[in-house]
Amino acid sequence: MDVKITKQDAKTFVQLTGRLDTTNAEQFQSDITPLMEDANPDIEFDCTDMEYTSSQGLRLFLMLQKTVSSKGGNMVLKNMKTQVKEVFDITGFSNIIKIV
Amino acid sequence: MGIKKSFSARLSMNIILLTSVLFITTIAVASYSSHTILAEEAQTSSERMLKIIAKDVENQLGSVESSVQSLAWVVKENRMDKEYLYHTVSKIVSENAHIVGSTVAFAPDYFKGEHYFSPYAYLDSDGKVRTKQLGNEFYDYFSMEWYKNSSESGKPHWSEPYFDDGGGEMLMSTYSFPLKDEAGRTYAIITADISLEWMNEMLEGVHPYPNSHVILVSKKGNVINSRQFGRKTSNFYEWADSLDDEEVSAIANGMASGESGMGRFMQGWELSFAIYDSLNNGWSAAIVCHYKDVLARTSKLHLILIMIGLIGLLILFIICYFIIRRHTRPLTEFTQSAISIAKGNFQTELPEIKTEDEIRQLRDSFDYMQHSLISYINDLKTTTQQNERFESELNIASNIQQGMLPKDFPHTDTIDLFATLKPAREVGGDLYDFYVKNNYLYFAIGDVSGKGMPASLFMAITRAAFRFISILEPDMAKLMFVLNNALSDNNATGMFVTLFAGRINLETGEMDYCNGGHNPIVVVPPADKPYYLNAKANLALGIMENFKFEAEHITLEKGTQLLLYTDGVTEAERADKVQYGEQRLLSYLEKQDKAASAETECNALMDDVHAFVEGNEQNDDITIMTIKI
Repeated sequence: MDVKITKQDAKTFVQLTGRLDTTNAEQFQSDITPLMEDANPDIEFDCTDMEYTSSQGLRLFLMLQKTVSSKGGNMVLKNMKTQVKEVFDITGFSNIIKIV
Repeated sequence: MGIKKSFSARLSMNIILLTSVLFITTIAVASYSSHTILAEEAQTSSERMLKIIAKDVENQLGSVESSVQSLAWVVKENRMDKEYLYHTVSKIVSENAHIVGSTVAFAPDYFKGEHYFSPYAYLDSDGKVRTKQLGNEFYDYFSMEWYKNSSESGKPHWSEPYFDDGGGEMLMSTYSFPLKDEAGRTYAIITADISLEWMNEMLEGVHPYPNSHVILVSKKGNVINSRQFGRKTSNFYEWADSLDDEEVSAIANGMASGESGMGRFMQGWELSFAIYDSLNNGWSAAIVCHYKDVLARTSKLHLILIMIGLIGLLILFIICYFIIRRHTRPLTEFTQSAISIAKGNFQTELPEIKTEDEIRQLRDSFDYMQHSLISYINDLKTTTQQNERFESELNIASNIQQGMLPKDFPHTDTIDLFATLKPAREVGGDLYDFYVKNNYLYFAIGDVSGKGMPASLFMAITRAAFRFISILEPDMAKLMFVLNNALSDNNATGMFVTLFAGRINLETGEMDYCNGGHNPIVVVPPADKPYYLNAKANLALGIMENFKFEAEHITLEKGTQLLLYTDGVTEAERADKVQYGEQRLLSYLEKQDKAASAETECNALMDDVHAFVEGNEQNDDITIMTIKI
């Protein structure tokens, strides 16, 4: 899982590449931890090249979502592939995480 | 492991080699300079000696010359008195030890009627002086060298040495002195024959060095002291030419030209030098020495030096060897200590080092290593013990978890149910539950996010909560609502569980169900193709409190089979990342014998998934539940 974080104005852009699974969930967690502590709460994920996410990945998105919401920010996941979107749909995560 | 060549021996050897090189260089330089000095000295002393010899020979010959010259006046005054002439020549022979014969040879027909007249005195074999008239038609002295030379040149002359084999068997030379009248014409030649034999004795005694000798040659190169070399006569210049040796020829030429000088040459295998000088009568003398003899003294000195050096080197080697060995002995002891430590004796004493050097540093690092090893091993022991404890606890946890899952599968006319759960680790986050109450089957299958111990705890809570709440709340939507709130409360870790729960009326086949973000379940109708049950996803449990769950309803035909599973089935992965997938699952179920028992179906699917991954490591819990009504 390759995580590329860039900041522009009051927004944070995160580009995700590859598979988010058990082997790298911890790394992903430490990658996004600064985003949770950031005072700048708007986050936009580009999921164009994201191949897969495990339930642990879902959990991390969920936690980030909670943090962002508590700070009054918005979190958006963009350009998600069908097979990844399915996971969000099955688990009902699409209901609480904004996917466009 | 044996040591082929010890460190001390090797180091000592290196020191010895270096010292030897220095020693040899010193000896070589000393030797070369002392040789040069000695050779120069030998040449100088030889030159001096040669001068003395030359002077001696010249003196001896000079006495003969002056005897003859003194006679000249007497003969001049009394030349007509034949008797007196005989007396005079007799006197000169008897008075001068070197002179063995003397004559006054008059020019042809000097006396009327006498073509030859030369009164001659000589020593006979008994040592008595005898006289005779020398010249006659058989002894035509006018053509003799001794006469001819002086009479023609008008100057005194020493003849070439000649061997007198008539009487004395001696090497001789004749001094000729011309007598001239007032008009300057030579009218007689006075001669003195001298034996050169004495020169043999004189020169034989001259030996500056063991193999050195003096050689005296006449103007034409005839060797005067040839007897010394065991020959009657010999010609040095001819001999030198015959050698075809440039150096010897150069010496011979120098001598023949009456020069003085020095030359080196090889005499056999010996490098030799020759010092030569000319005499005033045209003769030449040379001293020949072997360098070996000149250098003999220093050679001996060098031999002593070398012996001392060798003994010194040997002693140095022994001393070095022992000193180095003494200083490196701790290394051997360290080896022993290391072996001992390697065998597990961590308390092995290290050798004591009193010096403050590298060996001491080695000892300190060794000591550090030993202590590190001890503490490391202790840590390892503790860790191992902890791990063992943890493992045994994990096993217990696993047993508890497995124990939570109901195993008394119903297998009756109305219901045939079987479930299997295969965790990826000792404990997992998958769960299933079922029970039959009042002809209703309550069931659930779920998957906690993540794996291992944290997931297993959440799973245990979920399983327990489901059992309690489902007993009290038969409405599926309410059940899920309550369950979700229970799990969401104080869920700081953000863990969640996907759960599919349902209730089947075993008489009518009516099923109420609610899906909490779980994989769609498969319905296999008795006479139709299997399909995924269309169920609203709602939301996984534990995420959001007060989420409104919606339950659904379906009536199942008798003989219908339900397959519930977790994503461990559909996401089972081969090494090439290809997943088992929902489509494959559907195709698989289509081919199955619908008459088979739930247990058979369940295990067969597990086997198929196992076969699909081709030995690739299972990275998620797999749960399968088959319900046949």
